Amino acid sequence: MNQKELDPQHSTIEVEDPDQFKAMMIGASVIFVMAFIPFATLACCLPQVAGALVAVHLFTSQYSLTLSNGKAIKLAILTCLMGAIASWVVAMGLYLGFDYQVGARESEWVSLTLAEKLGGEKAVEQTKLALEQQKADGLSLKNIVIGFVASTVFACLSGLIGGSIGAAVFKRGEAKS
Amino acid sequence: MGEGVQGGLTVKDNNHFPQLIAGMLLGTLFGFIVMLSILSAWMPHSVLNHLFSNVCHQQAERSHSFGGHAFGICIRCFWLYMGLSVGSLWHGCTTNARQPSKSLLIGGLLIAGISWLSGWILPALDWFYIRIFSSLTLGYAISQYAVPGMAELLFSNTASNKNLPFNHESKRARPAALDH
Repeated sequence: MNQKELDPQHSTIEVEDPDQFKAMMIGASVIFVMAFIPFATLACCLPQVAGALVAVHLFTSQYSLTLSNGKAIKLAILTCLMGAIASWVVAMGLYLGFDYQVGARESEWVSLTLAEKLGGEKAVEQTKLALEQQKADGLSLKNIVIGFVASTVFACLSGLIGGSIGAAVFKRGEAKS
Repeated sequence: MGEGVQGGLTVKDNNHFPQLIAGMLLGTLFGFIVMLSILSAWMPHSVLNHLFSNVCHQQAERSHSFGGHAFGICIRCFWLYMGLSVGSLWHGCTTNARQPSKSLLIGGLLIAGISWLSGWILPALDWFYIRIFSSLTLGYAISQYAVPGMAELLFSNTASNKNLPFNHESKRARPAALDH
């Protein structure tokens, strides 16, 4: 082995973990706010991926670091979990307390508009039936549990996607070892 | 496979096991989601549709359908997860641990972004096959970063970590003195 490679002066510097909390909080706030924008539900997992990207971008900018894929994914998953769980809890509170479902009216409007444009009268009738069925089903304890589990799992997956993209796109200097 | 530098020390990056496990795990996970979304059309009154309601708009007109019932996720999500599943399995199983292609990721992001935006501006431009192609490409491109990342997360505490080609950036970040 080359002598230079064993020389501590030439080794990659081991640094203490910089504080990720601020970046995580801002990213989670982005997810939280976007969850309550009425038409944001039409963007699927994009708000959560965006929040994860914000967190990775802020962290790498603040400390002038390039994160490895694993570290970026870990940061992004934690950010998405924080944002998704917070927004889920507040959304449930609004639904149970005030019978208000975030984005439901807008989603219904989009469904009916698309059905009218693409499928005609028959499609509109089918969509109306499906929406009425959804309302009749209501919100049971089983649905609440499933909703929470699904939110958690898909937050992790969105974090994985956002962290992978963030690690590839945001390179701000020396790699964090 | 050649030699790599981890933490300033030269090591042989010939241990493919973590990448294989991570690839299989992610491939199976995303494949399972694809399967569940198909099942949600087969069993439209089950809880499966509710499972996806938090992560997808579930507009029937923008989703694949089976037997007259729409899948639990839209076309974009379906093919994104399909790309992630296929890509993860591929990157996990191939023994050639190359640098991920950043241009593929940027290309995938651009195509998906333009397709998504154009769909809002002029719905006629949001062509069915472009949605499939862009999402599949993006999913595959993301998987090439997700698999080594997951391998790093799963195996970073093991003693064999130093022998793994996880951190592609380590080579880039090493001091210039090591290159001589």
